[in-house]
Amino acid sequence: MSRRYDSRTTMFSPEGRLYQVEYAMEAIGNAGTCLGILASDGIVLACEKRITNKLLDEIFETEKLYRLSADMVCSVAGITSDANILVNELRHIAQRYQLQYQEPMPCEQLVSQLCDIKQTYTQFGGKRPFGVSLLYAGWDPHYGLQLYQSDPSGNFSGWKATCIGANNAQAMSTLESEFKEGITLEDAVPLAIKIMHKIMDQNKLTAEKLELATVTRSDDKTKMTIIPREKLEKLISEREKLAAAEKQK
Amino acid sequence: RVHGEYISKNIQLYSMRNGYELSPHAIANFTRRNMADFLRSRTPYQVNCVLGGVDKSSSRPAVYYLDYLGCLSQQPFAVQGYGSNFLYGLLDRHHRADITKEEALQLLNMCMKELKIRFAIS
Repeated sequence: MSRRYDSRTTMFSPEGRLYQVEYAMEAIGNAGTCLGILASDGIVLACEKRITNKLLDEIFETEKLYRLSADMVCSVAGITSDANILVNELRHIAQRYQLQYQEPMPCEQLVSQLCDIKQTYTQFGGKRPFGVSLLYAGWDPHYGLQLYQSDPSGNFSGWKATCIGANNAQAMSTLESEFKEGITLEDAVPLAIKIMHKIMDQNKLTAEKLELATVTRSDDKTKMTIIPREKLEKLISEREKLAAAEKQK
Repeated sequence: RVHGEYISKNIQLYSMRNGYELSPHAIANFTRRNMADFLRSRTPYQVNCVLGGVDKSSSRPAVYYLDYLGCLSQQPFAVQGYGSNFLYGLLDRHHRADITKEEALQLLNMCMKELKIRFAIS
């Protein structure tokens, strides 16, 4: 491998790779998992919290889930400080659109504009790329409920179900076999818990370590609901019972 | 005219970039924002507009009044220029919320006639 070409973010290697971008993706591969599933009546975002020291004072409601605008939320995986910058920028972009057009910004445009910014860090400036991948969940009148994923290269795509962060390959393969077209939120939430349970160390999935939110649409408004701890504990214990039953078979 | 072209080309660019059109509400506000931003620059636009459109998805029609100071208001009908002094009265008298397209055209003709008589336009 040509390590001589990896210290400049804006240089290609002879094999045609951008090493800094790939290293950024490595950093994310070690970060807390984020899972998203697009159901017919809502979107579920499940995130693994890594920071669970009991001495921590809870200033923010959520660690990995952020509201970007009235109609969009996102979850992040990777370097938290980088993520804060991007979330701030996303909020600015969405509000600038709203200021100009007096209408909420369509989802894909928001994702696309941020990704254009992320891309410039892989081509100009000599600054390193952002070590963050994001999952975006939102609604707009053009395409309804949507789920997007973006990575440090500035690439993005729309998904029916996807996963970023640690063990995402395992989660993706499980999703490929278990995701059914037309799945409802009622089934998507337990499915998300099931996959989080599988990929996190089996014994260690607790409500403390999980952040779960659903994005739904009712009364012409988009709602992001963060599932409270008691409900999470119930869902997790249900999953554990099912898992134990399956093991016994 | 230049302002009009700037706005219309931007609207076309939006459609080309995104694959769908801007709604009349968004276009009206975009135009207003543009006027308002330039108002306190060295080159303000001195254009009074009447905007009209039909929203593609809801099929709802809308008429907007937009003046050179950046005042935007959605109204059942709008007039700009000296004619407004006569025409608003006429429109107030004859316009209804459930007016049909044919009746509206007749009303428009009435307005033009009124202008010919009172305002001596050819």
